[in-house]
Amino acid sequence: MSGKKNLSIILFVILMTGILAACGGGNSSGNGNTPNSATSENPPAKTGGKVEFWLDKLGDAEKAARLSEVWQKDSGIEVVFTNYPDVAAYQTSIQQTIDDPGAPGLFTWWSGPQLETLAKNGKLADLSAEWDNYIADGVAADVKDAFTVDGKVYAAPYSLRYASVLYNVKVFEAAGVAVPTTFEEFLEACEKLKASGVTPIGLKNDSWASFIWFQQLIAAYDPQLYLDLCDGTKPYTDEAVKEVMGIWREMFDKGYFGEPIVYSDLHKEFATGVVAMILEDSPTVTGLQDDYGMEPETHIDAFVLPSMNDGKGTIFFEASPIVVTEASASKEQALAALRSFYKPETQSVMVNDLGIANVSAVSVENQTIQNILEMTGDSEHYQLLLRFYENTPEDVRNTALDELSRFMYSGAAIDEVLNNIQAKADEVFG
Amino acid sequence: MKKSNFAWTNYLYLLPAVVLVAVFFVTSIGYTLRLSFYEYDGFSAMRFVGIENYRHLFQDANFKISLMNTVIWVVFSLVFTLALPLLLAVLIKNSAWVGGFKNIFYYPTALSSTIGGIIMVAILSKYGIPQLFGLLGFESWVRDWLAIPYVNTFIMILMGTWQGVGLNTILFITGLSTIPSSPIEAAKIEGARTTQLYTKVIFPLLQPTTVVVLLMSLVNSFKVFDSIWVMTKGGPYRTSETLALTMYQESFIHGKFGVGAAVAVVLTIMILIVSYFNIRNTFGDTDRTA
Repeated sequence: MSGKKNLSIILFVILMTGILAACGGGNSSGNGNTPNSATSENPPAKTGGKVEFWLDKLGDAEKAARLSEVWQKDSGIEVVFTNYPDVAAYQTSIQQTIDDPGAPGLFTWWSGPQLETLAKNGKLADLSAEWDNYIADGVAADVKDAFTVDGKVYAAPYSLRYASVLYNVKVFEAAGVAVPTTFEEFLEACEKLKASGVTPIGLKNDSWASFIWFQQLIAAYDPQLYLDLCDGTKPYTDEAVKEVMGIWREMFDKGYFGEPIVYSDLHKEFATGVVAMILEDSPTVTGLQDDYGMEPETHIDAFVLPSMNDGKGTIFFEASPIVVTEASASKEQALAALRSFYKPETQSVMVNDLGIANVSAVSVENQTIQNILEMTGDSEHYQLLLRFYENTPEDVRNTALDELSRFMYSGAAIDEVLNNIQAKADEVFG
Repeated sequence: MKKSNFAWTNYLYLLPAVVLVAVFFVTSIGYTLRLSFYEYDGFSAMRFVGIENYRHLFQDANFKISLMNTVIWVVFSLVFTLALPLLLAVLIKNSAWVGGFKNIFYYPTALSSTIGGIIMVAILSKYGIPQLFGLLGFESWVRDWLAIPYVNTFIMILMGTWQGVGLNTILFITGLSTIPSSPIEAAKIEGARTTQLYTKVIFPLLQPTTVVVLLMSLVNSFKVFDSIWVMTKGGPYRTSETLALTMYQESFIHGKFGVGAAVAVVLTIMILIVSYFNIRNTFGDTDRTA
């Protein structure tokens, strides 16, 4: 009987501990989701304090630790990384803590409407005055526009990712294909590659990825058309958009695109030469080198899809913002740490470990990434545009992603697809 | 006086469970119901919009697909996770290696749905089972099966069956073991054939177990989420979403918590209606039998 009593007491204590643990812990960093954290083991170089940095973009704990260590040396502030593997869990954790002094000083977010929501609700510190420091360290001033809400800048870049056509050099050589300089040459290259038994262009089956070729082809046709679609100036039912969709459909019909597949399979197909080209961002180059030993320029290189009208090529970029929490008790440390984020040593780790190039003044080990960066700086031949995902209202974007996927997967009719997107655009833009 | 103390003690024993249910379930239900009448993105102030979220849902083509997929999941899951385990239970019960078969069929249930989903993604991706079909000459089958719109829902139902069949089989075997032998022996003496023995005697006596299995399968198939999320994330273009996924998608991916709450309310009402009629019919029959 006493044994049963003791067991009951133990079970009751365990139960209550569980309940209290679930209810409490509001100021703890993990918020119960047990994401992996990384911090430098070294003490701070200066007595600059400590700041938490939450993100959902750096799952590799080893690389996070290295970055944290170098950043600490640059800033004198201990930056504790907490990475969330799941986006929804991450967003929920930010929601629940953002008004609390225990909120992380720094966290990554998404530009466009999502950044706007936080900024307009007073959740973020105004970084307008800080930007001169970032620019002095080599951050492109143009990027500021992507983080500006009502005339104030609320973020700095955590990662700038530039999309270009990555190609398998060996496959191009075997098929006798040169890097295309015009859109006609690009289509000829696809034809030659197909004739050599290779899938010219690989696609990944991520549900959000359907806009990638859409935006690239629209911008290749006319960059202004892309911008006009994003801000609702022109309708999706415009004849020019239909013409571009017709070109895209023809490319599908001619077999230039492979079936959309899991991204890990796509990388495998690219590395093994089943697929010749993928339209991906710069960090993918690092991943392919790490996973498949694809050496820069020897196995993999990049070019920008040429314009259809002899204009400049368009390089789309994704600007993932890093923001400072207005309510956080470590706001000052966060601002100070961010001031040092663009110093050469820290950014050297960003580019050489992660393939992310935020500043111009950094030495890049991977020559293919260096080539991409050089193209981004060549304003005579290329222009940079913020990608569709962050450049248009969320509701229009979500409808467009579904409709473009229907176009890609099921061959949905061009008019039907564009009419459906426009119907949503009419609702949003009025 | 003594009687009164006894009653209080009983209520005290119930208190922890009541508190837990009140704190974690009742308040959540109330909050979700209230939220379904508001527009809320998680950061801005909540704005009352009346029945706008429900109106939006029933005009949304994606919600209709999601509703249809949920019905497909429920119907097919019921057929597969009820009929198949019953058949397996009868076969295993009459086999010479009951323990072994029980373990083999139960093993997939021991895996979490997420792990099962990850395994299936690997097996059904282009470089998994589809490659075997390519070697057999079915070239058009060499593709990512989970990326085929609408077909992928049926593939995922089969995967759900693979994971769900074990537990139900065990329950049926246990149910079969508890049936008294006298009615069966009496039926045999009366000259009942094997099929008659099962349809007229064993299956009716197995009804309490069948009700439990039916309800569990019903509720599980209504709220299936994790395996679909891991395998397709509801895609391509939201064609494999069920209501549970739509709820998650609207709330946490699109940041429309009001719409997500409205989906949750619709889903809850559906489960309550189906469960209510099911329980009433079943226990009504039992009461009448008794």
